Amino acid sequence: MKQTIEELLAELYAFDPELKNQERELKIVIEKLLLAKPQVFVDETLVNQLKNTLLSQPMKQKSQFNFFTVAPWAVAGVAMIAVVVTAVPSLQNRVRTVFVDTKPSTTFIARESGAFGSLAGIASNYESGVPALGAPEAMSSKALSSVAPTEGMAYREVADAIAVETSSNAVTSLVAPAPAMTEPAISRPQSGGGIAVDSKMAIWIPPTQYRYVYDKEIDLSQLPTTVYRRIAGSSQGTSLFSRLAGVALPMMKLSGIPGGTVSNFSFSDDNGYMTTIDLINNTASLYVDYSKKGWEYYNTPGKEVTMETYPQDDLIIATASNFLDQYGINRDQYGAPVIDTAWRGPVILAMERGETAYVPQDVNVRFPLQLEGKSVYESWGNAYGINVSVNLQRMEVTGAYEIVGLNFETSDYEMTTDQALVKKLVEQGGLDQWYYADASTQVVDVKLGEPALVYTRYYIWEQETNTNKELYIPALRFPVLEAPKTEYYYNKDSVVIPLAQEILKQRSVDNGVRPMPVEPMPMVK
Amino acid sequence: METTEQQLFTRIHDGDKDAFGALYDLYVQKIYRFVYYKTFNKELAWDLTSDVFMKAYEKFHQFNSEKGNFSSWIYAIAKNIIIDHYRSHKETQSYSDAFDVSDEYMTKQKIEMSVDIAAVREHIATLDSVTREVLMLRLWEDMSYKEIAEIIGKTEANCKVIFSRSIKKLRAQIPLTSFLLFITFHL
Repeated sequence: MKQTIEELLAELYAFDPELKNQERELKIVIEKLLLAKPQVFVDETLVNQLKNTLLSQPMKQKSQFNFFTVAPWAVAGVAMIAVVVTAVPSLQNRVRTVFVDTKPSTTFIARESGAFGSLAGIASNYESGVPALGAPEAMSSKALSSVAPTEGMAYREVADAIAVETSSNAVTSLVAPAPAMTEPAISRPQSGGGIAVDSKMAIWIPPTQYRYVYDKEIDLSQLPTTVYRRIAGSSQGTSLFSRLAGVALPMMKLSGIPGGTVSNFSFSDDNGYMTTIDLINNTASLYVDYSKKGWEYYNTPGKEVTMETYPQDDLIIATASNFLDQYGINRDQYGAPVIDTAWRGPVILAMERGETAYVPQDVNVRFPLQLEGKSVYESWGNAYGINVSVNLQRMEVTGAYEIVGLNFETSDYEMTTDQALVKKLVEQGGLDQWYYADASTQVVDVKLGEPALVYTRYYIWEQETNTNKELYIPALRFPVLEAPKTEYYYNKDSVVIPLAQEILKQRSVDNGVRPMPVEPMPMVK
Repeated sequence: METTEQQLFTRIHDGDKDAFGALYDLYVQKIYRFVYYKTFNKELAWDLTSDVFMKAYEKFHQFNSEKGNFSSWIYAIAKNIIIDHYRSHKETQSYSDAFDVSDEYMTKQKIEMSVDIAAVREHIATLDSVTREVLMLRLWEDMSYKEIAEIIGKTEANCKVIFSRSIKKLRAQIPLTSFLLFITFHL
């Protein structure tokens, strides 16, 4: 300290020599000032925890993008993402323990071109269980696939087979129930977005071929080339395991295990929800812990919501949004929420026919994931993102799904310029729309509107590691302008075509000429 | 120090997260103290310190050691985060007003001098925020004027003037009795 004081005094004298006359007092002042330094230290545990938290997260590397070669809209999109990435956690959401509750962030790590290998691999979501085009098994729905028709099997036979199968499974809804919400198929309100009608006789629905029509030119000249790969895996499993090792369990001694990694865990909270965390895939889901609330809590007889008492959309969205905020689920990377209205068509149709139809007591609110300012869509055409199920009777959330860690790698891939091929795929309704058709099939044209650039989620099975690569590919989305008036149109509201050259090239080789889509649906009447 | 930090920067830019850990070790206590001097609240200071390092970690790819040193970069982050905090808590206190340091651990000498130290701190509190910052960084954080200048956004010469004036001001403000008392304890 003495030396420091001398140095400080020397500095002062150099600047103002007259101060030397007050050396004794100045010395004391400086010494007192030095002594006035508060002795504050951070707890080493906190320091280490923060360090571990920091280093367990992916680190953003210097970008390899050349922004000047990218289309202006793409630059704007990236800029928007950058704003999201740099957002500082708000003080309102400040956590009691910072190292645990840090706001989840989005990261992007640029890789060299083609870093994810060939995109012409085995595409899990587009080809799952579906053989090459023209094969007899090439059926559209899971129900059809499960029937496993043989070559030349007439649709009537297939339908009979389905009717037999569905009679035991009692399929009652046109709309798929939400995950973890499989309800016994009886005529009462469904908790999962489905509807039910009061009959049990299987009816035959004539096979219908939907031909998606877009007759204008498709501009493929300025497509983005960035493909995203979501990074799975988390290093936090190891640190969690080390913490668990100290917990005394009645059935076994964890401290005896030399080391390990927590791959997934679940817990029930005091709000009455179960949370399941998958650290391998970096996903989470929350759902009602019915062991605490009971099954009748959300479906009280006599309190069913009807078309007349259906709540306002704003209220439903606010309920979903508040829930995500409460659970610290970051929505920065997600777009404006959309309520799933697929149930409305069948309900209105049933009501018009004078049948008893129920409004679903749970509706799904989807927060679409955004990449480069573009929404992400599934291959089927629906938006992909966080899905929140809201119970209309209680106006409470019954589940939140598709909550994922948003850490990505990016790599450039060549996009298609083959307009004819894209048009052909559009006409059949997308890559995953291939169906067997026969002479009895009725053809219905579905008009499509102007396409928009989006991203589509696309899985490729990686045989070496037995894992799926979860990719996000630039795509064109053609909205359905007007849903067909046919009785059993299945609410496909857009056609999504991924644009990566390797994917489409493979399809053009594999698929050749493809029959138009046909969708016979099993119904219970 | 410069060489070591430069090596760390290179390693971090190559994706070596442990190198960032080493940099963190070098700065975490300093940043915590800096934030503490401006928030006088242990928990809040740690929260804000965490934010500082979170942001530094997220934005490190933007840090260019050729354009400035890491010290001034991370102190600038800290300063902005503190300012953001006070902006969102206008009703309680402003950034420039915040000064009320207290000791968590007092040495024997400090306990003996606690009344006098409290008086000195009161005088420090009368200084404007920039002067106080220069004083704290120079005396308590042992920073060079060059570093201080980069953090507070003034020239080196300007910082020296501020420091010199603040010492003279404190010399004039602190009563002679206090000096005599201090000298009695020390001599």
